[in-house]
Formats: sequence, C-alpha cells, structure tokens
Amino acid sequence: MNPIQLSGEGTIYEIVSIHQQIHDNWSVDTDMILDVSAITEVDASFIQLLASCKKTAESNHQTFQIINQPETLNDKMAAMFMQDFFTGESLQEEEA
Amino acid sequence: MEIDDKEHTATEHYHISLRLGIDTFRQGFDPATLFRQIADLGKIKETIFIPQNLLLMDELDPESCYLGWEITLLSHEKKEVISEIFQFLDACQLTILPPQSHFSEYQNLIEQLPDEEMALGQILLQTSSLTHNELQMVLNQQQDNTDVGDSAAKHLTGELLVENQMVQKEVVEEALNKQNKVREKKQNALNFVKVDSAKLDKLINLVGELVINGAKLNQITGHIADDELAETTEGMTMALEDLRENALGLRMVPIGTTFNRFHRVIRDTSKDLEKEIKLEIYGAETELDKTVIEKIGDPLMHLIRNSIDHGIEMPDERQRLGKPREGRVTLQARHEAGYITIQIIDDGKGLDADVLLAKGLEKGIVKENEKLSRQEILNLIFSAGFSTAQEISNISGRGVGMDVVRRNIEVLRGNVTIDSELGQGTTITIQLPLTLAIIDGFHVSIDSESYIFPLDMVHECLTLTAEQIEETSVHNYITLREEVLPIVHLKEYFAADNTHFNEAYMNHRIRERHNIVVIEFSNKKIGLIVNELLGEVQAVIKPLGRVFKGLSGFAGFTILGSGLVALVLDIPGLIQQVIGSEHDYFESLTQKSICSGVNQVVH
Amino acid sequence: MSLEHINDELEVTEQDQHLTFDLSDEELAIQVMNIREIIRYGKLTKMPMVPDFIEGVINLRGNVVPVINLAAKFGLSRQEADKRTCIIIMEVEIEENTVVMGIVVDKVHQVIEIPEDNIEPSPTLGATIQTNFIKGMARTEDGFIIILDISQIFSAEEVAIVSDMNRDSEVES
Repeated sequence: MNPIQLSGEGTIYEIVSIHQQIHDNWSVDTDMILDVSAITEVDASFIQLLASCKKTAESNHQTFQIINQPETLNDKMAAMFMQDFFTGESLQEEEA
Repeated sequence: MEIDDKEHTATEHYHISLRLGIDTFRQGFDPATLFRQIADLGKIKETIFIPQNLLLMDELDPESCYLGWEITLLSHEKKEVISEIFQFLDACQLTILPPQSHFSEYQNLIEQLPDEEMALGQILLQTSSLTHNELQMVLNQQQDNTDVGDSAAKHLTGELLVENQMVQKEVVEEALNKQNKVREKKQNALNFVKVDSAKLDKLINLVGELVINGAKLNQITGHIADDELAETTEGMTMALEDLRENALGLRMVPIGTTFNRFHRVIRDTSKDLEKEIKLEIYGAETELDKTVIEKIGDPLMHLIRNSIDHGIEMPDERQRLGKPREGRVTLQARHEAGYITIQIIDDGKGLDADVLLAKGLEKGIVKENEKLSRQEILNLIFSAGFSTAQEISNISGRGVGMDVVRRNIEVLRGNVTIDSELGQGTTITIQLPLTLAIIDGFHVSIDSESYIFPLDMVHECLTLTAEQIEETSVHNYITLREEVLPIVHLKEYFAADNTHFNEAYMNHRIRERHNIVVIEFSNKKIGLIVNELLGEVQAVIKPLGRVFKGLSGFAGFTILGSGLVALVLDIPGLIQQVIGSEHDYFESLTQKSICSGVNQVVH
Repeated sequence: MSLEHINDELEVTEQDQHLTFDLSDEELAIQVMNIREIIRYGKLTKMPMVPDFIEGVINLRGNVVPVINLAAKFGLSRQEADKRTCIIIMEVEIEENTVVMGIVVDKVHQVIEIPEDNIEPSPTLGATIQTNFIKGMARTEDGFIIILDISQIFSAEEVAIVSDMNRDSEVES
C-alpha cells in the first residue's frame, strides 16, 4: 500500500517526467495511490494524466486514489468539469 | 441520461459535443479557459467528461490531448456566436445542436434533404429536430390510440409531436411540406419521359423530310383532278404542320427552371453580405432551346452575383440615399424579333462612366483621342483585361470576369450590352438567337440562291427607282422619305472574290430590277439589296456545323419546302460585319466602302 | 455498274476495299471504309464567302451536308457536271467529331480490292495532286490508280480554312 510520491510541476513542461514517475513506480499487484502533495503547479495535462491513471487502474480492477490533493487541483478539476469523473465509482458512463 | 421530455424541449438548450484536437496542450490551450468562455454566453447546465478517447497509462502520450465533453448550455446567443469560441481550436471535433426554438435552421436542413420519400419522423430525425426516444414515445402513443379505436390517429404523428412539445409546429409544417413536395415531384416525374436529345434531333429531321415530301405530294395532287385525293392530301398537310410544330417544341424548355435557381443564390449571398435583396422574375415561361439554356446558366449566375456583390448597396447606405432598404434584382426574359432577350436589372449604385473611361485610358484599351459614346464607355467593362477583382471593386464595383461572360454569350452567338445610371442601377441585356427554334422567315433570292431573313426584323420591302439605283452606284445609301438609308448589295457582299464585278456587270446592274429589304434592328435601319422577294416561310434553323462555324453573318441553315438548303441570315451579326462596330454608323457607311465591289469599279 | 449496285457493294467495309472514280481525267481511289453512300449530283445550294473548293451544301435526308469540289481543291480543271457526276458522301473524323461531307466526282467506277502490299509510295515528282493528299499508287491492268488519303484531305487544318476565313480583310480591300 505504498502511495506513489509524485513531485515536480504538474504542467505540460514536466508532464513527461511525472508520467515516467508513475510508470516506474506503479505495480499491477497493489492499489494505485498517488500522493500529489509535492506537485507545485497544475494544468490540464496533469488532470488528463490522472484521468488516464484512473482509467488504467479501473481496467485492471485496481483501486485508484489520489491523496493529499491541494485545493488548486480540486479547482482545476472543477474548472474542467472532471470532478464527477474522479469521484465516480466506475466508468459505467462510457456505456451510457 | 435522464431528462424530462417537457423541459428538454421547452427551453433554450444548446447541445455542444466537443472533442479536443491532439495538439491542444502543445498549443498552450487550456480547456478551463474554454469553459469560462462558454459560461459567459449563458448557463452551463450540464457537462459530462467523455473519457472514451483517453489512452491508458502505457500508451498515453502525456503531452497529447484526448479530452472530450458533452455540454448542455442554456443560452440566447446565436449558434455562430457560440461556435466563435472554438474557432482557434485546431482539429477539434465540434457539433453544436441549436435549441429547438431555432426552427429556421431545421427548416433549412429539411429543405436540403435529398428528395426521397420519407416518413415524417424520419425527416425530423435526420435533421436532429427530434430524438429517437421522442419519436419512439410518440409512435407508442399512436399505437395506444389505434388500439383503443381512434382511427384518425394515423394522421396525427405531427400533431402528437407538437402536442408533446417535442418539435415546434413550424418545423413539423416544414417537414410535411417537404414530404408533399417530394411526393409531388415523384408524381410529376411519372408524367415525364427522359429522351436522349440525339433522338429528338433525329425525329425532327424525319419530320422535316415528311413535310418536304408532303409538299411534293401536294404539288402532284394539284395536277390530278380528284376531289377525294385533294381532300386527303389537305388533311395530311395540316396534320404534318401540326406534327412539325410539336416536334420542334420538344426541344424547347422554359427558362424558368434556370431562373428559379437564383432565388437560393440571392438568399444565401445576400445573407452572407448582410444585404437585403429581393429577386423578381418575369417571363419564366419564355421558351428557349435546351442546349442554349444549359449554357446560359453560368454567365447568368456570374452577372447576378455581380449585381448582388457590387451593385446593391448595404441597407443603411440605401436608406441614407433615400432608396428602399431592400434592393431589387429583376430577371426577365422575353421573345423579341427572332431573339430571346434576357435582362438582369438592379437598382444599385450603377456605374460611373468617367471612372470607367479613365480606367480604359490607363489600361490602354481606349486611345487618347478616341471618342466614345456613353454606351461604348459602359461596355468597356466587357473588354478583356479591363480590370481585376481588386481594382474594380474600388472604382465601380463591377467587371470581374465580365469579358469571360461576354465570350460565353458570344459562343452562343448572342450579345451582351450594359446600361447604367450612376446611383440608379444597372441593366444588363443579353440577346440570344433561338438556335434550333422555328422562326418565321422571309424568303428571298440573291444570285439565284435562297436566303431567309427573320421576318420580325423585316421592316418593309421596296423596289428601287432608276434614280435610287443610280444613287447606290455612287454612294452606299439612298434617301428614303428624307431619311438616309444605308444600302448593302448582298450579292456583291457575299461574293468571296470581287474581281468579276467588272464594268459590264456594273452596267447590267443598273438595268437590273432591284428589291430592297429594309431591316430594322436596335432602332437602326439598313437596306439590303436582293434579287427576288419570295414570301414568308417557316424555317427550322439548323446549326452551321463544324465546317462553316467560322462563317459569321449567318444564323444557320434551313431546309425549304422544295428540299433545297437555304441560309438563314443572322441580322445583328451581319450588320456588325458590314459596319464593323456600331459607332460612327453613318460615317463608316459614307467614308469606307461596304460594297467593296462597287468601289473597285468606280475608282 | 449501276449506282445501286455500287451502293450495295459499299456494305462491305473491308480495309482493302476501294472505290475508284474519275476526277478531271485522273483515275482515283478511296477506301470504302469512310464512304457512307453515293448520290447523284443534283441541285446544290452555293455558299457565300467561302473558297471555291466548297461546291455548296445539300440536304441529305434532313441533314445539311457540305460538298467539296476535289478538282478545285487539287487545282485540277473542273469538269461541267453531267448525268454521271456523283457526290460521294463520307464520314470523316475531325478533332474527334464525326463530320459528314460530300465530294464531287465526275464518274464512279467500281469497288475493287487493293491489298496493302500492292500500294506503292506516291511519286515525289510528276503527280498532278499535292503529294500529301496521296496515300499511294496502285498498279492495275489499265495502269496506275492514285489512292487518296482522306484523313489528310479532311484534316482539321484543311477544314479550318473555311472556319477561319475572315471577311474583314476583304471588306477593306
């Protein structure tokens, strides 16, 4: 149950490195828990990355969780109308 | 998603379906900004993120964008305003479905549907003015009604839709309209038979032969005194004439179909230009040979576009000038003197002759000391290389490709002229010969060959007095009722080689009896010397064909009742040939020689 | 041989089949392939403002057909039309259009077979007809027959002489 510690600027400039961090530390055997406390800035590419993580986790029947999320991340999700996606239990909507 | 049907249809909901382009992030674009802009235009009722395109971690390129949303927006803005938000988003997939109240758009969509027979619901579905669920609901309801014995229910699809506020009444009406139109068209189509025009030509030729043989039979019958034979022949001759007229009519098509096409052009173009323009059509029933109609469409389109683009002013400008805000473009056709005349008239800003003349001088089309009539100056815009689009829109607002228009019309052996009053409007007149049409002709002989004049242009026939004959050998005109009448001796004019018009011939000519056919065209008269006047005939004009197409002054051939071929004169072409250009009309007649043969002898 | 008989023979459209005829005392031949029919010379309508090798036009069952006087075209002396004068109606391709034209000949002889091998190249000297109009010469019992090249005689350039005639130059003369 080790959360993956992400660090750096959550923007298009460093998104490749953050993607790599998750990729390197992620295991299919455990739940996917992302600790985003060390993420400084956030843009849409970061939100998308998180969304991809959630989608991946769900396709592997893993639990997906974001911990220590700062207010800015919440705001950004809200601004992009993606809160429902992250709080929703599954991707059932896809079939709707 | 569950939406209350009533609410769904009654409010001003836009549905926006958005899938961002793959490079959105790289271009520094933030979707959050987009939502803020959308929110500025109204109330975002619902937004659903669509993760369908989003790739899984392993395949994800984190710099690329895979995001998409379905947005329901409550807004009173026009669709165009909403779509403007997205204009800087490259390669995004965007669908904006306007609120149901925007029925005019649906009406347009309905109108644009292909002409296939469809159920009402199908039409509405295709134009997105109705959802599948809604349709299903109505159909179920209809089924229920039928079950309880309501026999009228079958006809009520439209009413049910309106009752349930699923579709606006106007949209339903439009759809029903469309349905009727398609049915009508189908009905009409059943009344028509498509025929290869080559087959028609063949038929017309055969009928022509029949008529000729009929005439021969008539002659023979005259020699045999038999009442029954005479009666039968007469009956057959009359039937043959009817047959010929009908056969000829087969190729003639009313120009209305071509004209009506322009309603749409005017509507669309004036909308784009934010102008208010009304199109008026007269003489839509005027018939013209099918091949001519096919080829006149493009030049007409060009001229009408010109009128809308450059002729008609903006509504505010018109109001300021004391004109009605709504500009008027009139399209009219009529038969006139063996020709069909089509006019495009607008009440727009007109042409400035001074500016045109200056431009003509600048371009070297007009020479420094050349004197041009007002008419000629206006017609400069038909000159090749007169102006380009850019330049013309600054000076007069016309002229784009007008030389091309002129050429296209000349190919049809027609001509085009322009008349314009600065500030009042412009009239463009196209005259086209009735290529394959039957014409009332006047049969004459010149040097023992038959020629046909279009009867409409024959003003009168004269026999020259000895004095007048004398006069023609000195000048190329005679004085007729105190008017100077230019004279062309057609026999001499038609000769390929003038050398045999020697002195003996000239002496003989003076003694010869001369008939003059006075032709009137474009308010001008000219006398043509012919040998014999042989009376009126009906003539079917056949094209000159590949070999003689370069021969100007002739509209075509016709086959006479005797079976012989006669040439049909193209009077405007001939006059133009004889006189050169229209200006200096009399000057050219007195100074230059027309009857070149005469001059050679006299000098 | 009667005209009807020759017309019947024309039905055979073999490449080697040729129609022989007289024109200003020369015996000439053309391939049968291009020939539609042969008609007796009758009343023609003369055309104004055309070169003199245009004999005129005739009405052929409702179609107006131009008739060329080959003698005039070749610069040979023209013979007065008599009862043996004929018009050979031909179909020629001009710029991908089939054009029907007639040629006036003094007398039509017969349809004969001239195999390709028997056709010798036209002499460069001594021919009374412009060599580019001649396809070749064929030897028969009676001597030589000149075989005309119809596609050359009715080539686009030759026909264009009629089309492009410009009246203006004559008016100014």
